[in-house]
Amino acid sequence: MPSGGAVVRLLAWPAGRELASLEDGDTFTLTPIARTSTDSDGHYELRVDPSVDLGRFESEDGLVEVSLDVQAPEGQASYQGTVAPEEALGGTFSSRAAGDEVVEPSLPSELDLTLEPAGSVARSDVPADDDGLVHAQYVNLGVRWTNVGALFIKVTGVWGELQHLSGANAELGVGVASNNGSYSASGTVNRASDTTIGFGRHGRYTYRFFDTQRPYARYTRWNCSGTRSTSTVQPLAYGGNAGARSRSASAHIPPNQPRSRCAPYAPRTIHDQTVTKASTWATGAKTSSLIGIDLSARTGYSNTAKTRFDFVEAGRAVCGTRNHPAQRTEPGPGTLVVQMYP
Amino acid sequence: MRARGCAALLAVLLAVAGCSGGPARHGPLLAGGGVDAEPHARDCLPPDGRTRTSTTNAGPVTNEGSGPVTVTGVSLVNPVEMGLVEAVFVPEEGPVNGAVYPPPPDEAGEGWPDRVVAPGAVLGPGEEWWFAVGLRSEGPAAATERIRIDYEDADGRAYYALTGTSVAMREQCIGVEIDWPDW
Repeated sequence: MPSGGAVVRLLAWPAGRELASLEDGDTFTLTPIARTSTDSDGHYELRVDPSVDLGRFESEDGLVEVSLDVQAPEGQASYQGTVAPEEALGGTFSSRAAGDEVVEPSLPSELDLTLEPAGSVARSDVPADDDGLVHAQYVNLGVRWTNVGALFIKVTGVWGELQHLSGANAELGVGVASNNGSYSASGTVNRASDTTIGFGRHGRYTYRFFDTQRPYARYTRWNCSGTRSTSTVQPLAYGGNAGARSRSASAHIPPNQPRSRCAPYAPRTIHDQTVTKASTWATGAKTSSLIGIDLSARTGYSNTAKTRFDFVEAGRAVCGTRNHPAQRTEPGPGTLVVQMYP
Repeated sequence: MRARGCAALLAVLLAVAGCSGGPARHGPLLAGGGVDAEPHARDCLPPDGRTRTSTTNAGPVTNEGSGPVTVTGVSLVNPVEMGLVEAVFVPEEGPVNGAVYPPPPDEAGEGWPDRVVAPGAVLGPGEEWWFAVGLRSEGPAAATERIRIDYEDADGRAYYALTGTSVAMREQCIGVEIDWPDW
C-alpha cells in the first residue's frame, strides 16, 4: 500500500577521512541535504538544495556517502549509498577515477522502499538538537573477511591468478536496522584497498573464493526528536584491508557456458580481464556474527583488481556466465569460468 | 521474525540527470568496448615465427539499430610496432585467439568459411557477427590499445565503434611482465 505524506530525507555523511578519525564511542552529525514528502500514491522526488556545499562531504573518490531516510506514521526505512555531487545537483554524472579505477555512485536514481514498523525506541545519551542535524555514534566492530574475487578453472592446462593491488575498489553491502529490529541489507558503499594482496597462481580444478579482511563499524543515530533510531553497519572508510585467505567455492561452480559466451585461446597466450564489473557475491562479507546476516561484496575487475589466465594447452576458453568476456555492455561478463572448448 | 510494514514507497528521482544522449559517434554498432570507456581486457599473443602474425577474436559485434549499417574501415587505435593484416566478420563463434593468421581449419571455428571482409560489409538490423582481426608484429614492443570500426547508417551518418581489448604481441607472454605502452 502506498504511503502518502511520509517525510523523505537525504542525509550526507561526513567525508571518509573525518569518519576514519573517530574514536570508539565518538559522536558526529549527518547533514540533511534534501527533503520532501510522498504524494498520495507514495511517489517522491528528491532534489538537493543547490545552495548546499557538497564538497565538504566528498571523499577522495569524489563521491558523497548518503542515507536516504523515510519516516511515516506507519514506520521508517533507510538506504545507504553514494552520490556524485554534480548529479545530485541536477547535472550529469561524469566518471572519475579513484586510483586506477573508475567509481560510480551507488544510490539508484529510482528506489522502492518498504517501511519497517515503528516501535518504541529508547532514548540515548547522545544529545539531540533542533538545528536539523542528525547525531550518530560510532562503534568499532573489528575486522571481518570480505570476498574480493573467485577463480573457477574447470580444466588442466590453464593457470589463473587473482591480482588485488592497492587502490582496488570494492562495492560492499550495508546492513541497516530500524527501531532496534533485526538487520537487513540496504544499499552499498565503495571502499578502496590500500594494501596489495597476493593470492598466488592456481592451476587445474581450482574453485576458490579469495578474501581479505576489512574493519567494520556500527553507526547508531537519532533524529532531532530522539524518538526513532537507525543502526547502520558498514565497512570503515579508509580502514584499509589486510590479510588474505582462500576458501572453497565448490558449491558455486558455474555450469559449462555456451560457446557464444566464450573466448578461446591458443597455448602460450594470456588473458587479463580488467575493468568490467565482476559478480556480486550476496554473502561475500562475513558479518553474520555481528548482525545476524552476511552482506554483499563485489570487486570489479580492473587494472588494480584483475584476473589473469595463462593458457598452456589448446582447446581451452575463458567464458562469462552472463556475456562474452569481451563485452563491456551491461550486464558485463559476470563470473569468469575456464572450460574446455573442443 | 521481523514484521514488515504494509506501506510501500515508490520511485524516487534523486536528480534530473536522465539520459542526455551521447555524441554522434555513439551509433548502433556494439563491438565490446564503449566509445568513452577504457579497454577492459588485455591479451598477449605470441606471433607466428614465420609470418609474424596472430589472430585476435574480439567477440560478437551487434547492430542494435533498426536499419543496416555499412562498414567503411577498420583501424588499430594507438598502435605500436603493430600492423593490421585483415579484419573479417564471422557469422558464428570465430577463431582462436593467438592462432596464426589466417587461422588453420582446426583453430578457425565453424563459421570461418562464411566470413566477410569487414570494410564494405553490410550488417543488418539485429545481426550479430564475430569480429576477427589478423595482426602483424613489426617489432619487439608490438601492441594496440584497441580496434576501431568505422561505419555508416542508411542515411549516411558516420559512426565508429571500439573493441574493449588491448592486444600485445610478444615472443613470450607467460611468466613475464608485459611492457604495455603508456596510453
